[in-house]
Amino acid sequence: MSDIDDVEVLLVEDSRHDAELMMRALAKCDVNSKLHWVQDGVDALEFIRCTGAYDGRSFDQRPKLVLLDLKMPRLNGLDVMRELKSDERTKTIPIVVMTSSNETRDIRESYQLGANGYVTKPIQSADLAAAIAHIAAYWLRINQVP
Amino acid sequence: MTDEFQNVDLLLVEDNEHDAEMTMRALTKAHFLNRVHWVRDGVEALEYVRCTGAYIDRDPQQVLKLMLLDLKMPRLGGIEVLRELKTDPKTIGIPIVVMTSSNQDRDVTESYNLGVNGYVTKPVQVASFMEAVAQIGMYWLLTNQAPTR
Amino acid sequence: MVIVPKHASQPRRPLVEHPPGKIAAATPVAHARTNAELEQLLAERTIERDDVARDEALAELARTNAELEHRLAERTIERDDVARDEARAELARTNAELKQRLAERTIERDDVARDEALAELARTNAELKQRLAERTIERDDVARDEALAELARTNAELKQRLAQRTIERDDVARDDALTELARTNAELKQRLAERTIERDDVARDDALAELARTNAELKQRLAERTIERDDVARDDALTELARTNAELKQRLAERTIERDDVARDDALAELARTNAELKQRLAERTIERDDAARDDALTELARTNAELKQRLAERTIERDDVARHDALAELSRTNKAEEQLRLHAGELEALNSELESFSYSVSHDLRAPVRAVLGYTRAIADDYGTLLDEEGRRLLSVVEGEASRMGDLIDDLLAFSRLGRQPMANILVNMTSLAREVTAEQILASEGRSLIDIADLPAVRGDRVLLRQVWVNLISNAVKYSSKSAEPQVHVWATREETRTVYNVRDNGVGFNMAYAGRLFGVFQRLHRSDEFPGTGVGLAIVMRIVQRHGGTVWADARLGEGATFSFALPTGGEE
Repeated sequence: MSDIDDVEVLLVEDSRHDAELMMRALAKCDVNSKLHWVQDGVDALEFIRCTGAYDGRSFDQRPKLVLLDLKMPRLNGLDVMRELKSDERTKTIPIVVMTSSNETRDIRESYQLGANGYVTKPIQSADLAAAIAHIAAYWLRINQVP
Repeated sequence: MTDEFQNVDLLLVEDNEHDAEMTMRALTKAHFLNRVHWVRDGVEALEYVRCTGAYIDRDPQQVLKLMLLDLKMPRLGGIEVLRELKTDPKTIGIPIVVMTSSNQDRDVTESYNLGVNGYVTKPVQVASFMEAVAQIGMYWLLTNQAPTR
Repeated sequence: MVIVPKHASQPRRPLVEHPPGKIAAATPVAHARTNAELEQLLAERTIERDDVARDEALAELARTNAELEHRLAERTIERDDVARDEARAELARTNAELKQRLAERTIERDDVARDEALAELARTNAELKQRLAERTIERDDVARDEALAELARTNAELKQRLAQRTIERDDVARDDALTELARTNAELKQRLAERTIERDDVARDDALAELARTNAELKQRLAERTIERDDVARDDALTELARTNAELKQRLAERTIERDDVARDDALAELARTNAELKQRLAERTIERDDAARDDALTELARTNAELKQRLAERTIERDDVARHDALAELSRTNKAEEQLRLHAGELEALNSELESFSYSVSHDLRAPVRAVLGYTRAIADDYGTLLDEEGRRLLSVVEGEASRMGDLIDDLLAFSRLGRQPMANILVNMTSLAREVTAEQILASEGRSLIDIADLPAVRGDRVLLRQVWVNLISNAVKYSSKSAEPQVHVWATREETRTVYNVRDNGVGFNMAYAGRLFGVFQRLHRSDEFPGTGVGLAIVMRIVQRHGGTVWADARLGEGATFSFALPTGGEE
């Protein structure tokens, strides 16, 4: 299953349109990072933990970045965060919340649970492109992971 | 009202004067108009965040967008600062990026275990250093949202 | 902060030149004579103009010469050994005399005074020696005589001072003096008895009287010392008394005393203790000079005691049906009010959470589709734009433009709705640095075309984040609406009034018709078309909301084609 090897970015996003726009923007960046997209929180956990549909994955292949939407069916973003950040094996994976909301409450709760960053999805496409570019430049090129 | 350390977006915690100056120059060159405050060790960093000691007049409502934290510092080191701030629910939300000369796995792992938001090894080359600081600024000062109040 | 001066400095006006040839001409002969005179005067100037002064100078010169010659001739200075020896001898004799007197103790025992006398003596000696050395004394017989006279006078003075003991300043010395006096008295008495010295009854009586007087003086001072010199302490005592009374009264009113026997007993005990304490302090009042005040205090105290005791005893509070009835009524009224508040709070709570979930929906659910429209139209433009003809591209850009406006509207609406819900900080905000911060960003954004000038602004209490938004909106508006001017200018200044500070932002842009000014601050209200100037019309509504939350007001003044001034006033008070 080559498309899930060497994945650097895990995109957890339930809206296919948002996902597509973000992936287009990322492709335009000068960053050669492999991205895998899952549409809900359960899939996200299985991917990271290499269970369920992903039990063939090697646990050592941790993504450099998880882009996590908040409002999702089945398991929402904050629950995913809580699960990953409370588990010793996965708490050091950088998670950046990427959501429509810029409500103070959401921001605060995300950081309380251990989010590494929080980005509000801009409406304007130029702003979205810029945000993705900055995210990619920092998290995929400069930031170091254990 | 002493304005010097009020309304600051970025707290630079760095004991090396040269590195601090270079960091601030890089930010200015990249047109970041944010206010940067520089402290030289962990004790001052904690005093700043908690509005004690020399910073007793600092407005506690003021919110930092980013703390750039060196590890090896006199008096109190970066790991201790990280531990203090990330175990206190009042300060856990402050985005902290360790920026240090060390790229030791041990330091990286320990920092992430303590809840650091990001980790950057200081590039040796000046151009790369300036570039890295600019990218750090772009993401953390422009794109990222820090919790307020 | 002033940026980009637009005009080079104006060229200086040329100086007015005197029209030539206008000086009246006198006759040539008259000219010549005046000149000669002047020349002569000038020539004479190097010589002493005033013969008198010159003669005086000569005379002075001659006199000085004569004097010096004379002095040289006489060599009264170092050659006059006799005069110098005489002076020395005189000095020595005086020294001996004074030394003897010191020995005889006619000078007081106070070492300080004696040292002073010695010092004085030594100083005089030194001075005289110096004068001898400088030969200012023996040069001039008059001066020498004066010196000798001075010496004699100093001696006499010292003698007199010794006699009068005016040197005595120190209590110890005075005590010594008293002792001395006593001793002298004793001695004198003895001498009287022995008749070896005392001849003058008057002198003896004087001494005795002096002694008596000193005693009386000291007694009085001791007596006074027991009186409280510190009014503050007395006032403190009265204040303490009043405070205790007030406290006890309050406790009665709150009924914590009469209900609680223990507390009441405590109160009585406290009262008694306070009484005892105050009585004691009063009694100790070697302090209280003012009998009237002290009596008042005692009377007041007694009265309060009686009153309190009586009230406690009668329990006039809890036995009083009226009071109890009042209390019950008060209680039920408070309950009702609480109930109402709870209801209102509940309503508000419901309203607020409705609003919050509305905003939440808007932020999540409305923004997503708009983002999609914008993103996908951009994708089409980027990837398939070349396949479209000009009209096709235009149609696409219209879609993009309108969707973009929708996005701005949603974001602005969200910001506006958030304004009412967030708690406001209350700190001292440095408006000058805040406005300059915002301006720097605006300049960057407007590529430096506008000249934005910020005067010093008074600080104000408020929420820095919200006030920042006010400046952003007002300054960006000013920049925007003056962007089409040849020389866009924005001025920011403040004026202090009695109870408020008024901040102003003026631009020299297109302005607006004041007839429509009433609509300015409404949400989504605009006075210009969006193809003239972009904007959602929420910015000013946000400004007004924020200013109102700070207890202030906002207004505008403008003229079409000449620009606009936006002003907001914030209440003062609480700043340094």
